[in-house]
Amino acid sequence: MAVKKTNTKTNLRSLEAKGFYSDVEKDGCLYAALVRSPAPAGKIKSITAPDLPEGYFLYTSRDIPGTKTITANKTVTKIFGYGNVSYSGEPVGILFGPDEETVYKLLDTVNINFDVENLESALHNVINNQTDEASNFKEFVDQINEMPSLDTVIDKSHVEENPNVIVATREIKYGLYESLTLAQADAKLFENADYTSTDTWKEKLLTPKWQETEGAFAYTEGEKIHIFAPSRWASFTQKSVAAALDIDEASVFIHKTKSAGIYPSGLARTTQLAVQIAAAAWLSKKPVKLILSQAEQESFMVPGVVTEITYRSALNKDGRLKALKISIDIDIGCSNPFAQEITDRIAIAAASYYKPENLYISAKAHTSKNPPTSISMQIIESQAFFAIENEIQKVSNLSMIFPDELRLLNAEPPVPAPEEKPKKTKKTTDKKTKAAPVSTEFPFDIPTGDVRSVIQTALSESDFNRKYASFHMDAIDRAEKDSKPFFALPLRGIGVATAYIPSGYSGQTSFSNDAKIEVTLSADEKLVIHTIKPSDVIQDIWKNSAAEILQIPKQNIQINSEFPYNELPEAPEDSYSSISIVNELVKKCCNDIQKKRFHQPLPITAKRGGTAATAKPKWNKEKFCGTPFYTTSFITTVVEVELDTYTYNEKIKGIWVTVDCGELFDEAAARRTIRLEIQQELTMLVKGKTVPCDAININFIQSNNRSGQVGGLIHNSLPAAFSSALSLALTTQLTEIPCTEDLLFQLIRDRTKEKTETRKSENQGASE
Amino acid sequence: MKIPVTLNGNKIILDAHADETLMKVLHKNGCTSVKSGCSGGFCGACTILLDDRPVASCKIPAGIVRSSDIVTLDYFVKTEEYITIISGFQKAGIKLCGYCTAGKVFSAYQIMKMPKMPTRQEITDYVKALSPCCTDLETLVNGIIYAIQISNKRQKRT
Repeated sequence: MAVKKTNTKTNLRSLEAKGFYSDVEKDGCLYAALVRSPAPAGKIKSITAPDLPEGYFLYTSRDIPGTKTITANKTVTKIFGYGNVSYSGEPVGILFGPDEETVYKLLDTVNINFDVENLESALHNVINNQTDEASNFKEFVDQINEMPSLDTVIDKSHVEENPNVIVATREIKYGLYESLTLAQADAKLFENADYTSTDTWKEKLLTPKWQETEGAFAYTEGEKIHIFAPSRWASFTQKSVAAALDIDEASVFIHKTKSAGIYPSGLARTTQLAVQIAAAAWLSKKPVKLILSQAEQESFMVPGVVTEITYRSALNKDGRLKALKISIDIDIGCSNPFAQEITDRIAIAAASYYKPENLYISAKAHTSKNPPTSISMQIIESQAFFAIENEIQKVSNLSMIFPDELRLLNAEPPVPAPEEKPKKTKKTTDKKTKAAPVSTEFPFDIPTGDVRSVIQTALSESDFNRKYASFHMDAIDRAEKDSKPFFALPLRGIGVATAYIPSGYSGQTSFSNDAKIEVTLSADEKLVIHTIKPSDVIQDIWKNSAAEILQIPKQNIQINSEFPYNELPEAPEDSYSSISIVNELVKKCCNDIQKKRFHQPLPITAKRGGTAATAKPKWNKEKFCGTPFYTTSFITTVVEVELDTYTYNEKIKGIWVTVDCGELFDEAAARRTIRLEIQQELTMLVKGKTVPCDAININFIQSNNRSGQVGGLIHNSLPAAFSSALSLALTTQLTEIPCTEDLLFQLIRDRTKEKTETRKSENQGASE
Repeated sequence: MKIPVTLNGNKIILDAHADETLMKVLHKNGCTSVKSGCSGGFCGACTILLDDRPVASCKIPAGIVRSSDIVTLDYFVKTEEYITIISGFQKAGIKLCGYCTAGKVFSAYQIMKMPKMPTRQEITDYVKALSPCCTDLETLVNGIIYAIQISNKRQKRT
């Protein structure tokens, strides 16, 4: 703790800009579009636009005066593609001018020459040489036939390094997997299990169409450059712009604009756009604005990563998970500076809060020829929760044990059998030991609070068990009778999913999440909290806490995000938006001031920092075990769904949500957040349409758990509950989301076909 | 082409292609409240008042608005109706993100102009297609109902 008098800082800059970047205008503003590579591979020889009208510019990597790459977390990204192309659509230049429409028309005239003619450009040449006369048709066919084959036109040396490079891995072993080989453990655990299940789960994150697309605006002012972008990593953007333009960081002014997206972005990809537009403004000495089109946003700025999670589960008759073997494949696109952190977080969430007797997790993140991806702290674990919750629902259906019983049973730590009970020792590296002893402690201790109450409240509110039993019996009956679902009454199903959202991850590989905060109370009883501005809701919570402790009016409290240019927070903003940690720091600062207030003259400044003022880290980074999070909020979501078999339209009859987020600072705001997230999620469950919902029921349980965040809980639980409900309605397993009408039709058709084949083989056997 | 219109109370001539969307033309002319959203006419980010009716400007070609009266949120914020609507929204706890404001405010304005008091369901049906970027449906409907109540009180006073 440090309490001292305020000192005046010079050269302070406000990061916050009013409004959105697309609203910022300057006289003579030019509009830009990115020139993108048409091919996924090949070496760029030249990029030219011979017929550019006056006032229009094209710049490529060659024009950048300083460093031609940006480096985040040891991951190097080209500002504009040069040399070998990394993926189809990689930005290789920027074209801009006074009329936006003309800029887009001119994009088609840009020539991108590869040093080896690829198939596409060869085809272009043939088409361009073709005349309209029908008599030339034979010649045209001959030209097509003379074209080199695909193998020869793509120069293998430029297909280069294998695009599928593994960049991050994580392996977690517990139970028999620690002492036996994989094959031995598998044989022992799965061969004699009462129930086994294997499935692969995929959840694709969609980009909502109603949000502002990414982009940036920049203008120069003498030797200074101003950049307006929805950046959440201002220090990195500032450094990258300075390095690319070869200027001092003091000359770069970052203005953080508002962002209306539901998946917070603003990290490396936003920085790349900001540097591209800064280069255009710097080289032309004119204000330049770049707004990505909806198509570009959907193709090149996808939220999250592409993940496939395969589970192999073994269950005994009582419903205890004997083994969980999880294989996680993460496609990070051509690059992602946070690959290791994403891999670790997904690996931890893949087992959720369940404690199987034996656990093996293998997670691998690899690059590919897809566009680069980013990290979004709020939704990082959602794909893992979608997978584990569907898997649990599936084994519940298999074993005929109610989903809540199965969940609660497996939330408890495994009890080793008496004859196998090992000594209470941790894994040792002692070479003299004949067999490695099995650790008794489960690798992860997730602080989930009152799981039992949360699950049971949601289930009793929704009358889950009665509906589940009834729909389950109906589903079995339909499957046995092989009734044609196409001519049936609407199908109904109910699903449940549980999930958590963590705050304060202790295993950060890239940055520490040490939030720093400074609070000053001045003589006129005005309080200034100096930190990066969080969302309006969190600002309100901070202000309420501070007003209560210091007994001052809420209007007297301000949040100030002015920093000297060389003291901008180094880490991305996510560490600042963790409500549980920063709110605690605000409270501690206010308490420090309150203690000194009547003994010391005002103004008084209190500073605090750290992951959590009181908690000692209980996470072992080397062994990758312990308590990975400072706190979590826990949710149970129940969804009752109805599917019209004629139109394939889904309708949600009700959503029941119970949340335990520790102490609630503002219940009304939390309720609004949950309702809003449900509404947003309903637009993304089925591709191209919004699923209507009749009723939403929200309950809060206040446990002794530390207060956690509410945002993100619905995204982690609703998709799994929806797909479980739909699977029950369809009597088949839905393994991916968002679902489509085609997918539903295919699932129903496959099930009917499978049934018919089984019946045929049975009849055949009987006649023989 | 030259398109004479009344924009935010001023008679001006817009210089635009006939097939250019009104959204782009207005944004270029400094009306920053007109945002680009879904470009399908649903989300409400580009809503304006065209002859006193809320319309999605992303679906309107500039060529057909000749001699029309256009009001954007940039101008509407100065009116008493706006203050009433925002008071209602604040009472319901709505914190608008700024990107969708035009759609939500002009929808509320249109509902408030209805000759009879709409039911909750009617209000829900009217606004349910708007983008859920910052405000959930129930809270938005509450905000509009509060705005109607505030407006009615003001009218009684006068």
